[in-house]
Amino acid sequence: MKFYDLHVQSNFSEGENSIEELAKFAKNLGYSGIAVCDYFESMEKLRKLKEIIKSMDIDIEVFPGVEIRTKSVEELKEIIKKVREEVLIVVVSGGNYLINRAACEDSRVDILAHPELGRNDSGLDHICARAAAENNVAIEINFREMLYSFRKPRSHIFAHISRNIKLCTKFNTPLVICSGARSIWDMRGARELVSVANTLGLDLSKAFAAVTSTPQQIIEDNKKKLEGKKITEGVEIVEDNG
Amino acid sequence: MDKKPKPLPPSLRGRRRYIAYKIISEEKILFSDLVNTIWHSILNCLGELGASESEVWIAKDTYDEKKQVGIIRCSHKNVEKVRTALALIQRIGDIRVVVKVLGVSGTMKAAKVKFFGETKLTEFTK
Repeated sequence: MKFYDLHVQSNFSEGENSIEELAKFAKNLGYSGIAVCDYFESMEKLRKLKEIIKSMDIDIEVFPGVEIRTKSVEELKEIIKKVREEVLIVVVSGGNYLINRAACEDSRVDILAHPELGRNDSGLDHICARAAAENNVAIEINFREMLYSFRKPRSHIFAHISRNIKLCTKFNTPLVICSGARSIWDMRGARELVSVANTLGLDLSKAFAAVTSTPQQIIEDNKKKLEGKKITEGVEIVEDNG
Repeated sequence: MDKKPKPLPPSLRGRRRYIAYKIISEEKILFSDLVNTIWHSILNCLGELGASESEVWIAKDTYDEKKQVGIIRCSHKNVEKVRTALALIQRIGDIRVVVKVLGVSGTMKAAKVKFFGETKLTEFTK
């Protein structure tokens, strides 16, 4: 089984470790691939990140990604337009309801990260969940948030995440479990993340899908789209071998 | 007469699972610190009631201080919960750690053979 962690941050933005260290540690924990999603600052930095990943020689797949953190919907749309053709994984940092909703309604977004961050509700409603299912935007279960909170805040985060899980299973919204790690010490084995999601109310089979098949699907689809082979849902260019 | 109650017959004993774990850290971890941290995490995460239901026992003589591997026993229905509590450990004392679960097994012997690479005694007699 191949495990993927699609949300890891390196020392390119606020992380602590270099991409190489993260990749090595992920390999140790049994992952087949990680996506380095640093906060978006400028296009030059993004291209530099891509070059570094290309020049690395490690037997684990490392995908270039970006995490967009903004407060206005207009800015979000602008940045998505710029980065979509450049990187494989586009993550939107949630928390603000308007941003959550805009991300769910935009099919160019791959993952909506931590929709419940810094809120006293779960940040998603049935409208968002349905829109995300239609546009194939995966909702993230962020492990780092749980790791760095204690007692009362942690119990609230547990409650919000299990509410989101309930909503997403109801509307068949894709779910991904990510570590959201900013250093190697925030990373956990994929099976541990599955356990955490399982205790919060996600079926074991669906929890496994959230670290294996769902991320794999996202990666494969985006690879095809970036190569120009997949135009939209259901329209693909197929090579003629005969 | 013995002062202790007799050991229960196997059909009346609770069903257990044995979790083999490995601590990844930069510095050495002492067993006493580890036990404190694991219990702290289990009580914090599952509560007193959840901890009693999961019947956790951290086996001391299975802990290898060099390799930093060991075995935790828990009831068979609460494996996922105990794993969650282990995943939520982030530091022991001031040392940052990652607890990696190597696997779950039905007996302690099988866990040692499977995950610590211990050889069975019968293999020598052949």
